[in-house]
Amino acid sequence: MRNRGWQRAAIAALAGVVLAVILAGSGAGRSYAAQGVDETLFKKIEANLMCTDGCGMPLATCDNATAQNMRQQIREQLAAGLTEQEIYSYMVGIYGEEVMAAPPPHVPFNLVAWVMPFLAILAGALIIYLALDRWVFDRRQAAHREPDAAEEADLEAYEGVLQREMKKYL
Amino acid sequence: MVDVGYLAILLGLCVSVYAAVATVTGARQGNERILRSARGGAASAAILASVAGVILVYFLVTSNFRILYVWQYTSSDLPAFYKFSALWAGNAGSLLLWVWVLSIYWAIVANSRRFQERLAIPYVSAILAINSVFFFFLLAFVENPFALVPGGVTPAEGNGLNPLLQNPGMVFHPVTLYLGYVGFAIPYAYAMGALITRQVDDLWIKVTRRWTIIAWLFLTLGNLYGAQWAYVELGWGGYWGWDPVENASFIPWLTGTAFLHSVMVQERKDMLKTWNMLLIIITYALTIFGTFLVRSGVVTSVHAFAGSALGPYLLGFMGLMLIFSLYLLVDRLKLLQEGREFESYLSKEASFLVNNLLLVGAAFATFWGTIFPLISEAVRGVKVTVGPPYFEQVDGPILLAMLFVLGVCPLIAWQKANWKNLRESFSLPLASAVVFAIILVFAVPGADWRAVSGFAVAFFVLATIFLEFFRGVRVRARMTGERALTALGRLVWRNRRRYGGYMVHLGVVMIAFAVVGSTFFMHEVTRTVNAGEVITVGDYALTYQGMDYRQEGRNTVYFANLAVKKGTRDLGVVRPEKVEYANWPEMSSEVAIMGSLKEDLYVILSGWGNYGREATIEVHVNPLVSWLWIGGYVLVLGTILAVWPGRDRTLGVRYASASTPRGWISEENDRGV
Repeated sequence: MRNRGWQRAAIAALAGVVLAVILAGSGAGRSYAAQGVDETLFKKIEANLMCTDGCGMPLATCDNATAQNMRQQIREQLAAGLTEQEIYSYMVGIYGEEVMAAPPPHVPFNLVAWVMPFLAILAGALIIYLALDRWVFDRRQAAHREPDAAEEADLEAYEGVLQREMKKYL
Repeated sequence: MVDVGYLAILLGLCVSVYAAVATVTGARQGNERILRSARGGAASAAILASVAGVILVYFLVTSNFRILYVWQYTSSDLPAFYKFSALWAGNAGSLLLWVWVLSIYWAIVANSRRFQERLAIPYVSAILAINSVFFFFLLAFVENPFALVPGGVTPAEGNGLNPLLQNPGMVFHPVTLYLGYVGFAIPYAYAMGALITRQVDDLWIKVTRRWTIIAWLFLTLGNLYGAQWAYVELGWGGYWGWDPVENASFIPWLTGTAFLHSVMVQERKDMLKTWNMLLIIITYALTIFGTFLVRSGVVTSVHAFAGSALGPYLLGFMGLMLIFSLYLLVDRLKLLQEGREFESYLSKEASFLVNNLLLVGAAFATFWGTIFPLISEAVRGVKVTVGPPYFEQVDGPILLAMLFVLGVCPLIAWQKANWKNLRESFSLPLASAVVFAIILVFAVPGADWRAVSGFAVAFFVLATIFLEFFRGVRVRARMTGERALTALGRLVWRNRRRYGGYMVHLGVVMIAFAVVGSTFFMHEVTRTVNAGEVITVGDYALTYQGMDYRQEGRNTVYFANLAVKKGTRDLGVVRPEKVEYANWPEMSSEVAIMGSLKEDLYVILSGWGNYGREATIEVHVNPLVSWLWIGGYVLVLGTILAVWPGRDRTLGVRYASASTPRGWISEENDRGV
């Protein structure tokens, strides 16, 4: 009993530590971002945009002239005090939604892109839950109908088989 | 000889059509003579495809520019190695390679003795014959690899091979990918054979286990080689860009992995029959769909495959096969009676359901993201891009959850696990993972919480795998009195399937470490420097010493010299290059990589000016990337171990038949996969 108490305490402690780690991690992430605002923000914006000359590459990995110009433009806009969102709006205004490396979620239809996979997984989880429920129920019902005495008698015989089999594989 | 090549294709088409019809007729009438001739048909198709393949290779290697394909993809100064690999540089050659592999597989299956006593083989063979018919048809009438240059002239020089394709990765990536893609046609064909003949027990799964695993191995290798190729050749700084073409091979990999696991439930538990059928049908369809995505050009991709007329054919064929398979499945649904074997929510079989949910979920997410631009354009008329930020945010968490399940699943017993065992199995790995995470937070200040959780989960899985090996060795050493190392060797060898599986998992964990490390801890600096100036990235200091060039055949290689120092240690000189090809408009980058187990120093030459006195250099420090490749090797070894033939290869005791007492064997003695 005492042992069990210990284990419970250990699990609770673990959960606490995990939570603390997660909180500490997210806090640390923020302070890091705060240090090098310009460059970090620039990288973030760069990562969220595509190169616009039809090369099909994300801006961050593209190296051609168009990409260089776009980067220059973003730097200038950041220097001029535009916010991240304002820069995105500007880019979308010129090049259309396609310039964003992921469908912008403020357009209602684009939410379909973001939400659908998780909805599908939830639906799948529900199906699995219902199926499991039925299978386990079926199985338990079937088990009830089986006479247990025969199994008990077999058990010893199986024990012997098990020992022999295990020796074979070891 | 051109005519011989084309004739081989036409004959291959005829023979495949004949074999498809003859096998079915022969099986229906029970006519052994027709069946035998149909088996001969399969062998002939393989021979004919080989003839066509060898002739095309001959033309490529001897630079016969009269052939359009040879002219398009090679030039006379290309090294023989790349002349040969140009076989799969274009659509026609790729299809020829496909049908070549397929027909050889088919000939093996059609003439195999196993499963022969059952009626299914002719139908399996017929399904493969239909595939073969389709691809021979494409070669004969849509993309003829033996078409001549218009006007009947023989150009003096060829167009040349895209420089990006001139890399050893070009040789391994497409071939392994095709071996994988085509390989999944085999379990699919067996599944359909089982449905057609109504012999829907798990024999088809047992017979195809090795085919499936080997196909999966090749598909995995195909993906990894693709990643490596992108990393060393394309100079984007990364190995994976979530491009539609990359996704096209990742999606069937995910469903294939799900299939590989869920069939174990059927083998042991007589359950998930319908689901397994569905999974292999989907995986097969996705391999065709992947080819369609790559070859049709319907989605914007950075991989410059020319759009061709193939798209509608591939889509049509996939649609037909899908309708046929699903009809068959629905029609035989009553036969697929599920066994009543689920005892508990907390059991390995239940955890496999979670594994399948997440793998198929990730496959769906990737698929959905890949085709969403088409949906958006169809519904709203607005083009959108679905790129890395989407997949990182959607696939990322799903795959992380999957990794966690990968740690949990193997430790849960079949039948019915109990909480006490689980606590014993998990408390140590969980605790060590938490400790690891805490150390990480303090050791790497400012680490992203996603990175920390990614590492912690990977470490947890690592600990569970280690514990499994440790316990196995301890038990064995105690029972046999062997020394630890001997015990380890024998344990693994005698339980190849199970420990091979664990090794594959170990490889996956290494890959996970590499992915998390390189995603979240990558440093990148791009600077334009004059000679003598220093670029500092992390602990590295690179001194630019100027540009130089050398001549390689008709190509000119420009390179920058950068002396590398880490702290006070001299690490030598790196030389990132740009190559100017005589017959290609754009220069291509050759990345300089200075690698170690801890991190890669990855240097790209972006450009230069003022006669090389100044240069723009992009320097990345990519942590842990080597583990991606090491993990890949471990995974390959594990897979080979798992399918290695011989007496001891399986310990897959099937103990849950109706008369067996339940519960007493599973918990303690068999957690194996």
